[in-house]
Amino acid sequence: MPHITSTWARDYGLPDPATRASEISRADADLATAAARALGSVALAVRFGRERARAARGAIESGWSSPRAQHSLTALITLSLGVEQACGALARACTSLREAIAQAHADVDAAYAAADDVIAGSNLAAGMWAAGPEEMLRIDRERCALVHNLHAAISAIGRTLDAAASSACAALAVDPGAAVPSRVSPAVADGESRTMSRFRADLRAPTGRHHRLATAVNDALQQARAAGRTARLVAYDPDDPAGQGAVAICIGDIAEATSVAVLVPGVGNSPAHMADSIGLAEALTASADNATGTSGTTATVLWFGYDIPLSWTKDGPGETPYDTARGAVVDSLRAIDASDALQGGISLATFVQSIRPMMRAGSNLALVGHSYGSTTVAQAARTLNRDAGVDDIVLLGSPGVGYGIATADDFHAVDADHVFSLSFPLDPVPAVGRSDAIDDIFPAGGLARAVTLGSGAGPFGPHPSDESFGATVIAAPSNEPVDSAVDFDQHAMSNYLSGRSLAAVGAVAAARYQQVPVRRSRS
Amino acid sequence: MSCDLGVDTDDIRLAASAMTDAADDFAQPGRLTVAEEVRGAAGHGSAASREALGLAARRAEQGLAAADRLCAIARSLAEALHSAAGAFDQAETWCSAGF
Repeated sequence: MPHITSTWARDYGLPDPATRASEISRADADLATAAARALGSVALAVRFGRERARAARGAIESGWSSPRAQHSLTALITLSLGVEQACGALARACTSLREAIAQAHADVDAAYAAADDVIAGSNLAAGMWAAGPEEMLRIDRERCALVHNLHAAISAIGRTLDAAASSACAALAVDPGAAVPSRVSPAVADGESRTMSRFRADLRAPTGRHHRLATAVNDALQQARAAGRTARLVAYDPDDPAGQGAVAICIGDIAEATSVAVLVPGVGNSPAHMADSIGLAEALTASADNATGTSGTTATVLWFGYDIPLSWTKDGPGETPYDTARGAVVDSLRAIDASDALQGGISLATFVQSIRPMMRAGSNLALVGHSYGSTTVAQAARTLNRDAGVDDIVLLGSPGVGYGIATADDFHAVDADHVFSLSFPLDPVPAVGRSDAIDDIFPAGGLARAVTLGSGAGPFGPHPSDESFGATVIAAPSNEPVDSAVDFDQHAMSNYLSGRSLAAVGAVAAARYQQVPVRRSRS
Repeated sequence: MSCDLGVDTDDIRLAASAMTDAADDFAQPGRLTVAEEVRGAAGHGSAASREALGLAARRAEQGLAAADRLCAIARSLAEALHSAAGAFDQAETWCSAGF
C-alpha cells in the first residue's frame, strides 16, 4: 500500500519521494554480502593452496635440481598471490558497498518514520472537510512542506548511496583472475572446428547457394579484418533456419572480452549480405570500449541466426524459380506479426547458451535487437532463465516484444531493471506495431491471435517504450533529419547505432549504466 | 656404472602430494553455496547501484573462476610430478638392470 505522502504528492503535483525510495530499496545488500563472502572464501582458499605450493617447491628444491619444475611452482605461487590479494581487496570493496546500501535502507526507513511522526504530531492525516478554512490551508501547506522535505531527504540519501556505489565501481575495476591463463574447453574447440570445416568446404565449393553464402560471409570477415578488427566466425550453418542460413560473426575477441553484445538485426537483412552490417557491429564494439575507457575490452557478435522476414530480396535465388517465388511470399507474410520471433527467440536462446562457454567468467552479456530483431531478443529473454547469463537486453526501434510478455517483469533471463528500450519519435515502425493497421489488412492474423492469446493482443505485443511496460527508456535523439511524413530512414539500424544513441547502447553493453541517458526509469 | 640420477623421488612425490592438496584447496570456493548466489546475479536500483552490484557479482564470479583455473594448474603440476617420479624410478630400475 502506498504511503500517504505518495497520495499527497500526486494530489499537490509534487515529486513523489517513493519513486527514489523504491529505487534505493531495490539495491540489494544481500548480493554485495554474497559477493564479499565468495571473494573472501577465494582469498582464503588460495592462501592455503599457495602455502601448500610453497611446501611442494621446498620438496622439489631438495629432491630435484631441475629449474623447470621449480619455475613452474614459483609461477603458480606468484599467480595465486596475485589472486589472493585482488580478491581480498575486492571483498573489502563489496563489504563497504553492502554497508552503504544497508545504511541507505535504514536512512530511508528513518526518513519515513520521521514523516509519520510529523503527520501524527500535526494532525495532517485528518479529514479536511471537518476543519475550518484556516485549518484547511494550514494542513495543505504543511502536507506540501512535508512531501517536499521528505523528497529532498530521500534524494540526499540516494545521492550518498550513488556516491558510495561509484566509489565501489572504481574499487571493483579489476578482474582478480586476469593473469591466470585459461584453457579452451574441448567442447568449444570441437564446435569451432566443425564450424570452420563446414565454412571452408562451402567456400571451396565451385558454385551453388552454399558457396554464395560462404563467399558473402568471407567478404564480411575480410571487411572487418581490413578495418583492423579481430573477426571470427562463431556460427555457420548454411541450411538453418529454413534455408536462409544461420551465421554469427564476432568482432573483437569473445574469449577475452569483458563485455559481449549480441546484435540481432531486423527485417530486410540477410546473412548473404552480412558485410552491410559489419560496420555497425564495429561501431557498437568501439562505443562499448569507449564507455569502459579501454580499447579491446568488448566484442560484438553479429547474429543472423533466425529466419529474418522480408530478406528475400537479399537472400539470393532459391534452387528453383518456384522456391524463389514461394520464399518471397512466405518471407513477406512473416513480417506481419511476431509469430516468426517465437521461433527466432528459441534459436537465439540456443545460440546464447552456445557462446557462454566461449566467454570468460563474469563477462557482461547484452542482447541488442533492432526492429524485428528486438522482438526476437525479447522472446529469447522470455525463453531463457537467469542461468543463461544474459545481463541486459536493449530493444531498438521495436514494433513490440511479441507474445507472452505483458511487462518488463515477465522476462525470465533478466530483471526488469536490465531492460532498455529506445524508439525515436518519428520512427514509423513502433507506430505500426502499436496500431491496428496490420489487422485491418490481414484480419485472419488478428482473429488467430484473439483465439490463441486472447482479445487485445496486437500483432507485435506490448511496446517496450510504453510507460506501462516498465522498461528503462533511453533518452537520445534521432541522428537522421526527417525527410517526409513516413520516413523509414528514422527506423534504420544505422540511425539507432550512431551518435548519442550508439553511445547509450554501448554504455549498456559495457554495463556502465551511469553513462546511459534515461528518459524514464522504472519506479 | 652409477645408477644415481641425482634426484630424490620421495621428495618429488611429496611435492606432488602437496600439489594435489593445493588443488583441493583451490577447488573449495566453487563448492560453496555462496558461489551459486553470485553467478549470473544482477544488480538492482539506481544506475550507480546496478553498476556497482553487477560488478561485485562479476568480480566474485571471476574470483571463483580464477580459483578453478589455479586448481587445474595445480592438478596438472601434481600429475606431472607424479609422472616424473615414476619415470625416474623406472630409469633407475633399468639402469640397475644394466640397460
